Amino acid sequence: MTRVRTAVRLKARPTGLPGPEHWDVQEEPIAPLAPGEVLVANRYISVSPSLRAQMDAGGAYLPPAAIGDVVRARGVGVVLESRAEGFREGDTVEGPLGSQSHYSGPGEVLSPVDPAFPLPRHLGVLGMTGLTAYFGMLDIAAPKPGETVLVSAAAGAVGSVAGQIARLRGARVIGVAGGPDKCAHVVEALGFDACIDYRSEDVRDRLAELAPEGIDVYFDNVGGPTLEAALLSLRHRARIAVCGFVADYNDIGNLRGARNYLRLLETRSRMEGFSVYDFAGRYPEGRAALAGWLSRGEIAAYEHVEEGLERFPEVLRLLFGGAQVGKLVLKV
Amino acid sequence: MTQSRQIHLVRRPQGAPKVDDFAVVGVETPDAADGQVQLQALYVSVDPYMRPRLDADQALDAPMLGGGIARVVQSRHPDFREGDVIRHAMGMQERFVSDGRGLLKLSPDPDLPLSVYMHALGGTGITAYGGLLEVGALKDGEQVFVSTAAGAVGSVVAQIAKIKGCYVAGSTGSDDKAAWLRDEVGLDAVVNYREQPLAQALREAMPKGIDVYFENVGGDHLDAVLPRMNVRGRIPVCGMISTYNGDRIGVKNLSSMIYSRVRMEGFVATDFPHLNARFQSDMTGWLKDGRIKYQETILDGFERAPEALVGLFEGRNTGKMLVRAAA
Repeated sequence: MTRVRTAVRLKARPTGLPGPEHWDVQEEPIAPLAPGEVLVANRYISVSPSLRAQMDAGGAYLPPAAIGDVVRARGVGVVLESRAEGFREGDTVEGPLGSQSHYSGPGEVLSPVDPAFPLPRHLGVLGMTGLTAYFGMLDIAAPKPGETVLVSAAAGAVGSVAGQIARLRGARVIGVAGGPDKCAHVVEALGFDACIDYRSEDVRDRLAELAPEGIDVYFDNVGGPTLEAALLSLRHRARIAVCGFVADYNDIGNLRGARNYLRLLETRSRMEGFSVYDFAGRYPEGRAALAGWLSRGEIAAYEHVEEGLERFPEVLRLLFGGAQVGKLVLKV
Repeated sequence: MTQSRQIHLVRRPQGAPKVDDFAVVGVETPDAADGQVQLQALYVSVDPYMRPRLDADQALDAPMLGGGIARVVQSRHPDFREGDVIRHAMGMQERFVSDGRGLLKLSPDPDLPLSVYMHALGGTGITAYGGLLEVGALKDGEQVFVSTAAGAVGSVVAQIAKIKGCYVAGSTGSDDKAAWLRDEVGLDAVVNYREQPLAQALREAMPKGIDVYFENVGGDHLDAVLPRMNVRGRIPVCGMISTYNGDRIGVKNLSSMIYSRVRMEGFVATDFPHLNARFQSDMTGWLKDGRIKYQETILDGFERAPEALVGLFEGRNTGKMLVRAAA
């Protein structure tokens, strides 16, 4: 019996916000497994800004997706068939399963995960999202107890975890998020000390009130005007961990760009871009720490689940201005 | 009591500073009391950082703030003897007394002109040395781009990088300076940013990308450099002269900082006291071997300090601008 999968393939490169016209959703047969390969029924797919970055022709640390490719999305699923050592039918695995209903390919890129956790969590706090927050906050930003930490996209997948880790390190944490609901979530559910609503408040003024002596760390997920405001409020020897720039992805041709970089000199601060892939050798350490915090209830995990692979194009758009909190995942 | 002179700011400049904004004022300098020294100015430094101070921080009708080299002419202080040569930040005074605080005793090398202790072996030099080697974490043989490479700090940075076996290119704004950088300093490539679009010029000047960008300019320079940065590139931020009068241009290529995991870090000369001994020894050797070249413009006569300062702001200097107050 030939198995069939549904795959979302890149049809055209968008110049701004991607839409349905940039994707083909099609059914196709699955080739029989070669030795070393496994077949996985994908359960959840991670929807993250890196998907949008792959749609562009170049520049990213990951090579761009070619036209006609299945986009390299992380996913979690269940093994249906295995010709790879170490994997058996019924195992729960996480890895680059792709924007499709079934993954068939090498088993070596997949990791078995603990099925006791809700499956989407392996794409959120326990996945690349959590690891990005973990290494970015602890290695690049390195807050000390009593320092003031600012996190943008604080209700989002990475920001929500990054801020909670800073709080666990004894820092005072201020979030930036869009809208009163997200801000309430950031303070009440995630335990941030305060949250600035960039839609209704002037970030610079509000930051001056909340942190009159300035900030020691800025965990940047957005770039743009929020970065500009953060630069102005840096204290001496502050650190900016540059994690993302969602504000920029969809408007590359028409960026305004942040000013105030002179503040790096005036405050002798450090600004550093990073990629979670640089910490690949330390994933087990990060996963263990995150799992520990989750199990002890020290970190709250939120996922926003949308359903239906065929809705992939519209769900991707939620990343850029959606109302969801936490990690965005697509249930296959 | 000794008759001497000071340079005062007598009014805030309207636009570009003029000589008439300053006055040479005669004063009586007291003799050194117990625990004091009296000093005589040898060199007076004029520096770009003085410009914004003229609008605010610099007091009117008081000696201009600034640094210089002076000689001890009277000592009633246990740590100083007559004839000692020191570097100070006591401002533009022909003679002055001090309790010794903030005076740095120099051991001038007899084979070098004393003036180099005001630039290559002074704040300029340690800024270049610490900024490039420690903040920039330069490794031998890397690809280095220096903005305002003909400037006081930039030219030292570029030459240290050459000594470390690096491929070095720099930007400058005039053909004369470009020629000096190419022919005398020996840079591998020079970009005249007034004549070429920077992004395109950088592709040609830095074909293997940039490992260390020594930042003196900011704004469009930074934006053009970011996409050329190699993975794990470093940007020591020494200055951002294009933004001092208002920062109108946003930096758009932030994504390059993530893609290439670039580290950008501000610093000042006083961050490197731990490097000072190594710096003095390295730089003295390089200067004596002729491996670090420099340019200086020296005006003779203490009373010419206002002229020197105005000339500096008008760009009439080549290299470090100094006033020689006494031999």
